[in-house]
Amino acid sequence: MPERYGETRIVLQVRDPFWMHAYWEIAECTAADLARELGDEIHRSRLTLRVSDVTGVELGTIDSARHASIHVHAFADNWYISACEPDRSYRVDLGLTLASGAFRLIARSNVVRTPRVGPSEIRDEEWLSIRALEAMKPAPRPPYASSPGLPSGKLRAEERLREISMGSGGLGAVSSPAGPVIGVAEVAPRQYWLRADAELIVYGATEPGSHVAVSGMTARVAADGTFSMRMALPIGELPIEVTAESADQLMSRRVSWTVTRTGPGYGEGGHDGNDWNDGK
Amino acid sequence: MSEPRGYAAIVLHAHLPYVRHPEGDAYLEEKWFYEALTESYIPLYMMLAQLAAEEVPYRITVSLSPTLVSMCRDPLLQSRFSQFIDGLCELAERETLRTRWQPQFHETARMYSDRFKQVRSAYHDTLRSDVTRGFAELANGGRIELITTAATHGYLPLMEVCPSAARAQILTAVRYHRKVFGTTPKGMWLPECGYYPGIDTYLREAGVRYFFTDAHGIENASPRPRYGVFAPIYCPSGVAAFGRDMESSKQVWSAHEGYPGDSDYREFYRDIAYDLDWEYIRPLMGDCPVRTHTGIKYYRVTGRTEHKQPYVREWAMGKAAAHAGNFMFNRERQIEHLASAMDRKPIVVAPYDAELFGHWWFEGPEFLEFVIRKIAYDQDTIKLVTPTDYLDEYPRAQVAAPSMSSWGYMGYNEVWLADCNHWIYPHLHMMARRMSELAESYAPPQPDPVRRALNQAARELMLAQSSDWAFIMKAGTCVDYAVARTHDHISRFDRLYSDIRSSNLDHEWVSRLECTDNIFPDIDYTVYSASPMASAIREMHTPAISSAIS
Repeated sequence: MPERYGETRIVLQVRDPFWMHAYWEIAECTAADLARELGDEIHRSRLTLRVSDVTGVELGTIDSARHASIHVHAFADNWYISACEPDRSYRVDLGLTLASGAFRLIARSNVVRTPRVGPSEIRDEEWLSIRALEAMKPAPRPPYASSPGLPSGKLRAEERLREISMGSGGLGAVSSPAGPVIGVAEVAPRQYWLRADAELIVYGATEPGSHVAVSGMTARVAADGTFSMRMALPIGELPIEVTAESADQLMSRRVSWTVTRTGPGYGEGGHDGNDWNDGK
Repeated sequence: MSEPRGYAAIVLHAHLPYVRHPEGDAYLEEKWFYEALTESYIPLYMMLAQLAAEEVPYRITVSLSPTLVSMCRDPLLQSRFSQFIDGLCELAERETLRTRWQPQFHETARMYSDRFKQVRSAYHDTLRSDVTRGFAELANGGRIELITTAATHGYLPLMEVCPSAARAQILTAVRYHRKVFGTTPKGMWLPECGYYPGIDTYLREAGVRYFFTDAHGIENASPRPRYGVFAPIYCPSGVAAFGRDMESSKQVWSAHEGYPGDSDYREFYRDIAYDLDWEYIRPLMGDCPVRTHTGIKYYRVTGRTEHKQPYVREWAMGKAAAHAGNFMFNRERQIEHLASAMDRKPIVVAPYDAELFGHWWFEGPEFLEFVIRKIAYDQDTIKLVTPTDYLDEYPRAQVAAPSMSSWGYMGYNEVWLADCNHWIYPHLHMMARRMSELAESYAPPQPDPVRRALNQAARELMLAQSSDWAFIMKAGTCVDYAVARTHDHISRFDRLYSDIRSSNLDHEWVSRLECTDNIFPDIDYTVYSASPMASAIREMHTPAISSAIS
């Protein structure tokens, strides 16, 4: 049975008036493109679902959709999204939230419409009265005692946190005129804190089957000839040497340069720059 | 009989997933079919035919799923059922001997023996091995209205992103119904009552006049239906939607509040398969290495106790008659109340799974028989009709768009879209898309081997889409089988797709698949190409990779 289909896409489905489910696949070529495009920035980016309320938007008005961001585990391939309300239209963008806060779109989902919520709690008592039936108001959100299905306990816990961070209304908050910025930062402990570091990614391509070494360490060469290696980036001068040798050992090439890192290195606390967690 | 004040529409939905394993006879899942034939389909047919023979007036709607109809007409399953019912008759016969000195069980043993023999003779003599023949005759005689459901009972709300697949489920079912029964079905049972706005346009295209939703599908329709579920509405497409009445449903469905839980009815779980020694019951088990229900059960529900009391047939029949009377009484009161507030006769729609009657609720067929007789002779307030009868009398109805809904737990999609089964959708959606792509790339005429491979791909997709697999994964029994079936159809499709694409077909393998997954001999893969929506799906799935950073 195929595990993946090699196609970048995200598909959104309605589970019920308050939950949607999205699944996605990021094809290897897309991942490689992103890695090439973003360079080492990709390692400071976070896989993000941007849930947009597009109610009315598809009717031709300008794209003024508000959205909520859900940071998902880098290896997740599906997510149950509680950030929705009945009788609204939604779309989800899968992308990367970059360190700068910018959103790099990877794939955009189909649009779904959640169903209207009806007077299910009272229909058994009131069904005989047509007038009462007419007068019924939408019921308040039923308590979903059972937790939604999720790929693992870990993700479940993480999503619970998101739910809390998003407040009672889920995307309701987003639908309000000035929705609060929604993100992980809101669940952080009370003390403000920051940990940051930088690492180095060396990457390239050569003839498939070649032997590649980066500063003496053998790099795995993919079937298409590409390779990449991620390594620590200590303070100081770091000479990098990439060598490639053809499979028959008759040809070889060498590229080298020096990377210099200055400053305090791995840091905790201090400065008040942008927190990359807070995507938007 | 004076003019009734309102109507009741009883709908029996008969469905089993396509389970047929020519490769061996140890598949206990095939027994689902044999048991349902023995305990539900044939007894229901016999009951309805008897009423028709006595000219008791009644109208009932029966939905026969295309998968079930295919199994009923399949020679291999017919011959296996013939062996099964022989074995069961033999075991029941031995039971009458074994229980000779146990008066508390002996009468019941004789009841089973007689009953199974009646079923066997009806199967061979009247039905000539095909129970659908009997239902077709009842339909021709004007007693029942035969309708269909989606081709393999695919759960339609989770096909919204691949509308060509939903459309193919509907069109293929209607074509198959027409081939078997000679008429276009007037109605369609949406699998699990699963509706999403827009699916009705395909029903319209297929020539279907009506379908059913759960109560909230109608109650939450927009604009708000004036009469709730007690009158059908027209979708904007012009197809009528009838809503399920919750009260009549609950009385029959609910194991605790409903009739079937009564202490005098037969206990389902206490089967001789678990009480008697293995060698004794083994002939009925075939090659199955485990004990499964025989259908011979000597105890009554008794109460919430492990100490079950022996079954007494007369008591159970008395209760079935009393419950039928209660059911009718409640419908009369309901109709009287509704009629006073409506400018048309109300209709109460009471749909049930056919397997409830006889298999789960042993006395269910007798209950239904009493309901039909009592409604015919004991009152003048209500009359049994089919949805078509109602639409013929009231061709005008309010126009409103039903709301997405199902009759599953919590009323939406969460049974079929849960942590245990959501893994199937990336496959099902991709297969649907690939099927459309194949249908468009390989427009007819195609060389015979290619055409056959394309048709087989369509079969594998449809078989993978049966709502039963996701349901079983969620329900938690027979999960291995449901997972294995899903895997099989996904991987068979995957190989067919790549072999067709690479012009590398293994004809022998395709022939074997045609024998194994042989549903819908006349399936036409081009059903996946003609959809006006096809291009929309392609667009939707196109990866939206832009370099723009917002």
